[in-house]
Amino acid sequence: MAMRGWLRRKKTSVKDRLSHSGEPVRVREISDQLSENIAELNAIFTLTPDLVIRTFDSRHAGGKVTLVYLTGLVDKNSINNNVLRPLLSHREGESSSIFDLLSVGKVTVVYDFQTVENDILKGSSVLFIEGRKEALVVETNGWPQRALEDPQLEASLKGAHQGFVETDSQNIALIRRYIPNRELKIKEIWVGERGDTKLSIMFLADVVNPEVLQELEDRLGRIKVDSILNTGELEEYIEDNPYSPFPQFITTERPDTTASHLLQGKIAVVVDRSPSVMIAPVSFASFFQNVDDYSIRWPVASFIRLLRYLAFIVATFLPAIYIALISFNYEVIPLDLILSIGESREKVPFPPLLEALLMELTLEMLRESGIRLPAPIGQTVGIVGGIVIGQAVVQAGIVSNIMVIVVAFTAIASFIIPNYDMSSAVRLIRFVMMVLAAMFGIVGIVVGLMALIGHLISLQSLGVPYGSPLAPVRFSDWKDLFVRLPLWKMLERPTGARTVQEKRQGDNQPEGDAK
Amino acid sequence: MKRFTQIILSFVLIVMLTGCTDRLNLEDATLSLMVGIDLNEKNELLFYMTSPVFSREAKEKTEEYGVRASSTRESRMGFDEIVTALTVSGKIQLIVLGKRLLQHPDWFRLLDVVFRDAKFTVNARMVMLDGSLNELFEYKPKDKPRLALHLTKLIDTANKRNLTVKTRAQEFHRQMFEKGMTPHISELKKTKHAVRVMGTALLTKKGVYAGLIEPRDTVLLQMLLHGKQGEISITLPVKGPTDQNPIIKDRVSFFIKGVKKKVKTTYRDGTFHFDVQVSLRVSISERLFPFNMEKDYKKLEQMIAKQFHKDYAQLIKKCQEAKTDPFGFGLYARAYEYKEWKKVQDDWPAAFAKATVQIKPEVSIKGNGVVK
Repeated sequence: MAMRGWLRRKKTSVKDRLSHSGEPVRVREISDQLSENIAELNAIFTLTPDLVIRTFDSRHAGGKVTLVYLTGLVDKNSINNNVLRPLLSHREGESSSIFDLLSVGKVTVVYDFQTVENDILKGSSVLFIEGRKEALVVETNGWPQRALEDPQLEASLKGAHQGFVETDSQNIALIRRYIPNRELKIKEIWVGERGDTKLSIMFLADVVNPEVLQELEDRLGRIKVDSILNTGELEEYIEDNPYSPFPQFITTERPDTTASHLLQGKIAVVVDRSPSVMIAPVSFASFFQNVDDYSIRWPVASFIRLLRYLAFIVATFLPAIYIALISFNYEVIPLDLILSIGESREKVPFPPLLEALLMELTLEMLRESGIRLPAPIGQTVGIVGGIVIGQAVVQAGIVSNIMVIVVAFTAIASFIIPNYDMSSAVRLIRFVMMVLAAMFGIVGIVVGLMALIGHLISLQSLGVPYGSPLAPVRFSDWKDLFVRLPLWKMLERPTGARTVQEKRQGDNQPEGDAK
Repeated sequence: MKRFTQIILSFVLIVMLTGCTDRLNLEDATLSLMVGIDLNEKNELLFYMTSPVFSREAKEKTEEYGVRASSTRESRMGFDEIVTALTVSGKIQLIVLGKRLLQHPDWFRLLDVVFRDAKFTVNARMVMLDGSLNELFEYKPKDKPRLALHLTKLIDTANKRNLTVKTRAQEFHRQMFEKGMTPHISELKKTKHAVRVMGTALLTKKGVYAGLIEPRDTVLLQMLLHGKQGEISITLPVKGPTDQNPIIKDRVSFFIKGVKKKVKTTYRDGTFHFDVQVSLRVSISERLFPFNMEKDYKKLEQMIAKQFHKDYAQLIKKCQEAKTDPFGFGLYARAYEYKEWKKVQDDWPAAFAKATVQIKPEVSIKGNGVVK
């Protein structure tokens, strides 16, 4: 009860803080006096040394002009060449409108300081003109950016080698390159009281199910937070089942994956400042698909697909089965194997569960430590881990050989699952299964399996069943489930996203030479 | 928030559940691999057991004990008093029965626990030992793996070549309760330097030892029971056309490639008649006398068939005299002559002893090896 109270208190305090910042700010209009405007700006941006306020004479404007911007957020070339130069080196006889002089694509006229403040903070530069009660917001955004790189988490063999970056406009462009179609629509939503994050909901208007889209919009609209820093945070606010270990949306850093999902009638949410895009609605099966599946030959792709499901089962249950077998049900182990297990366990002083937990936790630690280390040190972790796990632990008699093999198998299996979120979920479930197996043996594993299946079936992603096409059964989607049939067999879009337009392609079956 | 509490609560409940009562970690278990039951001179029951020892410090890799007890389950208590850990019976490979025990009827009741206790394995091979069990369990061959494993492999491989039968406990149970046949198990003998497969032990309906079928006859029994199973290689003496060679006898060996059995069951003149048509496809693998195969292969076929006929007649006579029916002819009697079967079903071996069995082998040579 105490905990509940504490959580509730914490929640209200967030609400309080939000209402403070959310209280109506007085709207200050732009004055026609430059000095007043500058004073107002200085009042808004205190302790802001990166704010540049440059006042100069522009003969064309017929007086003084003040240019304001935040120095790191703008493109210096654009400011120098497209704003300052035309205004300073104005020659007689040219067009007299200051608006026409700015060789920048997007220039808007604003009247109040609230907008000015927002625009400056987002990297635009603002031009105040003496004697006019308005300001021009010039789009000169140019913050520090990363070059396009290979996606780190979702490397691909044959797919594109461009991953998303931290700028949403670039990311949208990357997606548009794959689907240059006017039906690719974008809805923008701003989320976050302080961070003010732009979310761009992308979808194919004639394919997507309007109810699903509306549901997503509603959920996004209900978010009241300080800021969304990353797509993962956003996910957590709009999930169907927040207590589930399973990811209910896919976050991807690959534009081609995103495009493929969009074409299946799903919705992509591009989050500004985050290099990953959220895809919804998704099913359990989509976490086992990969762009490469569609560019390698279909029998091979099917084999790899099956391998992934097998890996999921191995990674979830193998240590649990091992524990159950050697502490309850050794009758089912073949005689020769049980003798070698017995021999390898002779020196181990721990019960099987402790032995397994010890190794699994070591593995998880190695994995976690390897992620954040720079590459040169990361290698050391691998070597230390390999020697510690593979050799010393066994020789010291702390863990048995077979256990090492089991842990190694499990680790390899969990790496085969292509989606990081899903493989993390498996990591967690594995421990639950191990405890169940240690307490109830095979019966415990079966109970765990039933609970797992029950949970997976009851899950939803944006109101669409997570277990589809297995539960509910939709045989037409099985062409791309455990096996991947040839692409020309998939004449319709998968039903998982409840698309309104179903036809995907015509009859494309190659005829070959033989008629 | 209510949900969160529920999750925490159910987790606590699960963690505190006591479901570990029947847990027994592998290191706390003594896996008995071979058990033996025998009688001593004073007709007291002796139980033997051998199990592997997993310890680097122990010099011997197995431990074996014998205890005096009145039942199999009671013997477990005796074993638990002496062996390293707790005796478990889930991995027993062999149940060895002493010859002395098999001379007493109704010993089968001792195996009740094997079938009643679900933790007991029913996959153990049933074996009879001609000799003292004590000697067998004490035997530690230097050039073999653990005795139990060695014997298991010995029986399994000997069975592949049809030198003995492989009767698992479950199958033995069936043979004991099936009215139309009598049980038969593997027979071993401990010789000075090795344990040897002697063939198949015939047991009567009550389980009493009734005689031994030698390996070369076991092949015939197996062919009748299972058709072609594993590798069947037979060497027969055949009268060659040439004069006698003092060292090399006239022998022909062949593989049996296929067996087809057809049993015709009738009842006339107060006895059962079984006409068994056995057609064999054989491939010659060894011939120690000159013979014109191209011309006279029919002759050789007939010679082999004749020899088969003789051997089968002997085997069946032996079984009939011992009041046993390991072939399961009673099943045919029940299927085809039910009325008459009903009268004799409670003492089928006696009825079988009076029955006439005609085995008519038909041999066709399908191969002559890779030489001309």
